[in-house]
Amino acid sequence: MKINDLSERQLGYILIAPALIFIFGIAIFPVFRTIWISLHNIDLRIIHLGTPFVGLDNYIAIFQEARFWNALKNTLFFSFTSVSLEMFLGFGAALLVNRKFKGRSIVRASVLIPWAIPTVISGLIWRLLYNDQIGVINDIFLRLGFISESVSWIGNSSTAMWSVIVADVWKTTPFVTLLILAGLQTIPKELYESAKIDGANKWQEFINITLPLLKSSILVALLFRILAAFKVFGLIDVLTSGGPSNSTESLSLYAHRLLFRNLNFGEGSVVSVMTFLGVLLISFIFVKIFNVDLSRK
Amino acid sequence: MRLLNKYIKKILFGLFLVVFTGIITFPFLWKFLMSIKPDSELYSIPIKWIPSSISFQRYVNILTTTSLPTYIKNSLIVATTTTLICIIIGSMAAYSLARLDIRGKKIILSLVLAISMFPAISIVSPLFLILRDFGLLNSYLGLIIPYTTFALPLTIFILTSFFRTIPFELEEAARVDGATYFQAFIKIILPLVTPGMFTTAILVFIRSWNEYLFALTFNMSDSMRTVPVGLTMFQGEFAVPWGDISAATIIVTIPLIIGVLIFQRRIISGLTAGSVKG
Amino acid sequence: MKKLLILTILLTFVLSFSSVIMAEDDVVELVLYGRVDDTSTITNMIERFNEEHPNINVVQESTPSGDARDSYVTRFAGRDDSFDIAQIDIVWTPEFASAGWIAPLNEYFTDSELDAFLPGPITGTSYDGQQYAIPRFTDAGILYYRKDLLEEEGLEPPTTFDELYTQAGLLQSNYDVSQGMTLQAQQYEGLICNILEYMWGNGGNVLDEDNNVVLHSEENIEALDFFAKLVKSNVTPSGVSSYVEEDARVPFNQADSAFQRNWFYVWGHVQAEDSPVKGKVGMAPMPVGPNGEESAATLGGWNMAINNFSNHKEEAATFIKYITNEEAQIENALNTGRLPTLKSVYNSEKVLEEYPHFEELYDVFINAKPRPVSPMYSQISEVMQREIHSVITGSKNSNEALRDAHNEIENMIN
Repeated sequence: MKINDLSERQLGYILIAPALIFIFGIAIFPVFRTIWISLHNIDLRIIHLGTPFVGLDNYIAIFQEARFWNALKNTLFFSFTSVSLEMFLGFGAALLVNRKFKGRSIVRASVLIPWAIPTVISGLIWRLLYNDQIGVINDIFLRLGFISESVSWIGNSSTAMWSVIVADVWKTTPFVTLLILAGLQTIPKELYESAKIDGANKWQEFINITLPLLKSSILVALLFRILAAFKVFGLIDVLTSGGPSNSTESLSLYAHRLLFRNLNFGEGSVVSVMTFLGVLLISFIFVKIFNVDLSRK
Repeated sequence: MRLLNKYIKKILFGLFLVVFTGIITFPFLWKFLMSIKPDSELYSIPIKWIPSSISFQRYVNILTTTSLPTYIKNSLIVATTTTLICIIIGSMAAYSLARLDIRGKKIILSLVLAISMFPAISIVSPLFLILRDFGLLNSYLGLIIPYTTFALPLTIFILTSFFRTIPFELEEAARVDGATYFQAFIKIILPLVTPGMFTTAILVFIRSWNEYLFALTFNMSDSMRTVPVGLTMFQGEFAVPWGDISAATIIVTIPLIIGVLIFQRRIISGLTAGSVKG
Repeated sequence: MKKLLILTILLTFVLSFSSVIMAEDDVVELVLYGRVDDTSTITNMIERFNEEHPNINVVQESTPSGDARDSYVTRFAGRDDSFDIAQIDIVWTPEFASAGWIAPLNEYFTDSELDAFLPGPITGTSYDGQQYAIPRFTDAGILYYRKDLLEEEGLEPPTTFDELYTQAGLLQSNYDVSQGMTLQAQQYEGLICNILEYMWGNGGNVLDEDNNVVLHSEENIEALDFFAKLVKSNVTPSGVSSYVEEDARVPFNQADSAFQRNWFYVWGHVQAEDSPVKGKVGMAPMPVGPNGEESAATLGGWNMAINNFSNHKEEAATFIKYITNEEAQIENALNTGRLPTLKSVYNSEKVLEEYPHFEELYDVFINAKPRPVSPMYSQISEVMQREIHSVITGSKNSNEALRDAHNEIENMIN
């Protein structure tokens, strides 16, 4: 049978097969293994105990840890705040570089720069910028009179989380900008022209044309930003390493400490599974709110 | 009066642009400054904004004496291949999900999304076992395969949303003209989503280019190392040689930005070329 | 025809197998997996070793310093036999040993060979009565001070907590240094290295000889009180609770701080050609507390271990012997400024010529103490990091924090 003879449904399955094979062929084992480990007592420091099946014991142990709830709280706060800011700023930047003005390509390039720098390196840059002795942020703020003496941005529990958020917003807003910008390009210009004829002002255009037509771009940007924010690791690890006194420790950071430092694979996997469930729940809510329709009209 | 208003607006807009780009690029520009400062002024207290002399010697040293060029080559190979595979496989899947009548779309999309929700930290150890058993450690494929797997959900979601913006009448018209479903996909619909494909390509490329944890764990030999891990190799146990790290970061970032700009042109021009005329 | 084919296949098999066997007979390939550092020195040593041992070929794989542990854990947990020798941090030894990841070395090293090493690094790398790693270079917490400023004041380097505090404050107000002292107080492993020096220096400890938790003691509370006072006061920079090694080094190196607690690597930086404090820096042991008898330094350093899953342990031991022998340690000390682990190297004329201070600091190095030697160490450290950081950045007092940490560690160990 040739590819041109296929019925619509046959073609549909054939086209989707390679992606599914790729995704599930590679990812299924790690995912199920994580779940499997989370149900066993695998603590590599005490191997003489073997790796017995313990049911939900690891989950119960983690739920009793204040550290877990603290990490969950930090992760939720971080995700909510940084993603909101990124969506807002990313949207604004996209609308901006979508306009025509002199030097637009320079602005476009600079908007992208933060995202092109590897996370570990941007973490290091921000560490340096935040430094109280040789950090340039304190220097500028002192010169401008915003502060009267150097502030320890990442060494202070009241500012550390915000410092991490600022660095993350700086780094990942371009992701949102790019996606929204691409969405803006798909809106037919004719729609604006006819709206203008009908006497709509800019704001009405934005509410009635731009926003509705960008719905799916916004959803995709939002979903994948939340996914990434909820798993945040590298940036925090480099900037504060979870401090001061665990006030910036995220779920992934906690999982990392349990897995790679404490060698407690059972409990570390529980935290991973809980992270997964958290993202799942949030994504589900968003998909419901946006009510994505996949059926054919 | 109105003219004056317009001028003020223009000036304000220009000012806003300068401040806006200034803030965004500041950390990057600061890095650039550090890369050309003399060693003795890197950390001067109080901060030295204007260096007493500048030198591009660090760039020369890094390009000639370190393995950074090898890292760049490796990253280019891995990221480009990943992007190509993602776009090809992803657009096929997205087309099917967006425009063809197949069952279980919601379930497929949810599962695909769920896969990318597990923290990489817990995925890395089991993946290591798989790759080792297939002899793929210290190889390009050993990175391309997992990168593709975990970039596909993003690819499929973006492309699906793009495919859905195209009116369904187009295909129907093609079908009436005697085209098969496959021909309609390749010849009519695919060209219309080029902006989406280029956007996705940029996102997937940068994502793969910047990936750290897998690259660190799967490719341990120096000849197979990629850029992000390579950049952290500049650090010692305690020492952070800022001058060198800055210069190396600039070296790897500038071409990336230029590449993205060229790609972005394609997004715009690709659109105007195939814009949807209803 | 068919027979011929089968015969050819068989023959190819036999030939390829025999060639494999021959290759094994010929040269054993050893993979050394270690963090990146002083690479040219170790690379030269490997080259020489390979020349001198035609039946062994050592290949180096490296990893960035900060994430070395993550990749070790992944490789070991996967029972990976594709590397043979690991260069590991001193505090990982008991953890890796109890997990069965690294091989005991008593088979390859005699007691008298081990006795030639400094006692601290040897204790730190042994577990359950067995030796699990051989120290390649060591490190210890040192008090760096501005010799020129102290001399001008007619003062000797501080020997007690109070002297340190008053001298730092004095120099800060009398001279052009905006900081009295810098140290490492971010919530990370370095914080424990810092605080232990005050606890030990005040007669306290974390675990006693029988591995009982003794963290919540008068001595430790006093030590933590002093440390918190130091960190919170204006003597140290306002950001010190987020400082790691480099953050502490830079102000001192820029002639902007009178004292600094740091590792030995700082010496190379302060004595560099373009250093503003070249020739103006002295090194002293950490001060002693009111209840303490002798100064204590936290032990650092990196050690060579053999992967328990390796198929070439014998050859790996040969290599470890080679790069930790006297000649190699002298070369390493001269080229990289790393502290040797063999006692004899501290008497080597070549080394003393280059580093005259080795003689006076020998006591610091020989008395440097390993952090609690326990397979639970990283968890013990995490609990202490959190609690101590809540004292220096928050509202908790030393007594509460140490009591909480004490109880948590006790529950964990039992």
